[in-house]
Amino acid sequence: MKIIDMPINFDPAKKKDKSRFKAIFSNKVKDYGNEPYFLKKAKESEELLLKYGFPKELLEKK
Amino acid sequence: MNLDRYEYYASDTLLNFEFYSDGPNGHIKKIIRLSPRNINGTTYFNIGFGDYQDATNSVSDQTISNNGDRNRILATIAQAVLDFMEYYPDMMVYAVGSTPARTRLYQIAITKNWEEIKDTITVFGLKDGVWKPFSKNINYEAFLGIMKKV
Repeated sequence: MKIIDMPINFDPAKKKDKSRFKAIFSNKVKDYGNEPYFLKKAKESEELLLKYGFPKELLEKK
Repeated sequence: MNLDRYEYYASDTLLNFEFYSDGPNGHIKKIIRLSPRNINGTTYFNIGFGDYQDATNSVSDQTISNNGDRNRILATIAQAVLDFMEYYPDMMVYAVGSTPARTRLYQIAITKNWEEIKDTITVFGLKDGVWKPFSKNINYEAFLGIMKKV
């Protein structure tokens, strides 16, 4: 069973069309990737998805 | 999504969002984080939501802010997730609350916006250990969604 934290490839060019998003982009927003609370939540999600798997229909849409 | 919501801020990656809840109990900083995970080659993002605790510089969901703005908060989270899905349309998003009552809030958020969601996002709910297409009248234990291909 392989579980990893995924690196995210972000294409800054895509972000330029800010009209697509309702959010206001701010470099003051921290990266909470190492926040223990969120790590714990992600770990719990893994446990459930390992137990029940993904819906086949959603995997087919990827 | 035309529901009343808070102005919210995003990091460049659209994985981190911040906004403030305002009400009788104060000005409370809220954090949304979409955490990427991969199980056997399948990537999904877990939605995390909590209050920023100034005293400890950490995030927690153990506080109940009671600011009388539940629907506005739910609308803000929903819109942030839609922004994320707009940017990462091939990625699955997973949501569950830390308690059944909080999971129910996700259910309310999806139900309130179902007319707008159903044409753009495929949503599944976990019920008794089985993933099923979302239906408004069933209480689920967790949710998974992905943008529909146009």
